[in-house]
Amino acid sequence: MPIRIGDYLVAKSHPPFIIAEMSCNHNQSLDRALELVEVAAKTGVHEIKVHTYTADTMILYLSENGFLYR
Amino acid sequence: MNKFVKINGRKISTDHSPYVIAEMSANHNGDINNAYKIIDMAKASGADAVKLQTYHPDTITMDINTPEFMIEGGLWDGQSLYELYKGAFMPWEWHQPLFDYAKKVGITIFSSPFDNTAVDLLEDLNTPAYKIASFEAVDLPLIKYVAQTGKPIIISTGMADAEEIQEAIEAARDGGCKELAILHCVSGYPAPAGDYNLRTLVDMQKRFGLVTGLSDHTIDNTTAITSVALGASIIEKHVTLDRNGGGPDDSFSLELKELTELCEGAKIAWESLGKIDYGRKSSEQANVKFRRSLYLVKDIKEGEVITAEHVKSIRPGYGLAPKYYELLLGKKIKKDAKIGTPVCWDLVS
Repeated sequence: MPIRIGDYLVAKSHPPFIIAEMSCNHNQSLDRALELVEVAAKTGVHEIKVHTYTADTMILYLSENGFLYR
Repeated sequence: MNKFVKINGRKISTDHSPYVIAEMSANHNGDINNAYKIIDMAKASGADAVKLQTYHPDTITMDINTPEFMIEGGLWDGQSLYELYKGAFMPWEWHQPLFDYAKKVGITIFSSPFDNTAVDLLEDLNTPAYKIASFEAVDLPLIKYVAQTGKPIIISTGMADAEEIQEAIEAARDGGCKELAILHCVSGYPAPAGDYNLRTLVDMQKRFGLVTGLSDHTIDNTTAITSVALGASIIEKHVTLDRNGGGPDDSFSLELKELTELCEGAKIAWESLGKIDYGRKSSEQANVKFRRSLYLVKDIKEGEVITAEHVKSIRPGYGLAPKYYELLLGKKIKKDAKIGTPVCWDLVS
């Protein structure tokens, strides 16, 4: 079953849909994030993806019971 | 039908890393030192074998300039077939030193014979295998003659339809060939990737039940590496010391760097295929504890009813799976518990 994302039809009968994942590579600088969008657009990828969360929507601010990264 | 082919002790099948053949063709450009260097280059790139072409203009065509012997269009426009092969063929006395050199360097070497006398020469050199070029795949008497040597044969199928491929296979079988491979091929020089219709590879494996590969005449490695995903066990590619060397095949051949990338890329592609496996991979094991799970986000007292205020899906993953969220709401807590406690069934009555 094909899906449509923006102007693109995503299906086997079309060229692969390529997603550039920004993740946290903005290093918390908006300028860097904007630059990543520009660079991605130039390469010909079809979509840039960001992560939408804050620390509070994902974890509890605790340093016990497995909340420490080891 | 044979499920694998073995050349110089190297097994070739989809169960093994793709076998890469560096095709020297006419890229020696008439100098045996270039031929030695191409053998070195193939070895350095990680290729499995070097392939030569064993013909003389007189074993491939005739010295006639009537229109049907003239090439029109493409890379070799305006030459007669005889002129083209006279300028491209490798002197037969090179075979012995090149076979010796490849042995010294430690890489397999074999050749495409274009007539019976070439087969005789290669037998004298104790070649480990034979290649039949696309243009010779319809020369069934030649295939039969090669098959009588009992050596493994790789047949290119450029321009051949399914019936012609079947005939070539039968000729090899009739001659006594036990180890046969066929290469999907588009005999354009260079060939556009879009002409390759790689899905044909899947059908060839099903239809003919043989070790199957690709003879790639596109100008880069993408088509060849992709073919591995569709079951190609052999990749053959033209190689040269210098793409701008001016030889008849230089322009569509790989140099050392690209050939190395092809060998590595084909191996990685093959490794990445693996098997059907939804199980947890060892590289994921350490991350499982950071998946989301249900935690208490507020202190709660024994007997209190669990509400959305108390429970939330967060990382890490020591609590119950988030799919139990709705089931937990409205249940009573069994004992006092603090914020940050992973929710488990023991807490709930």
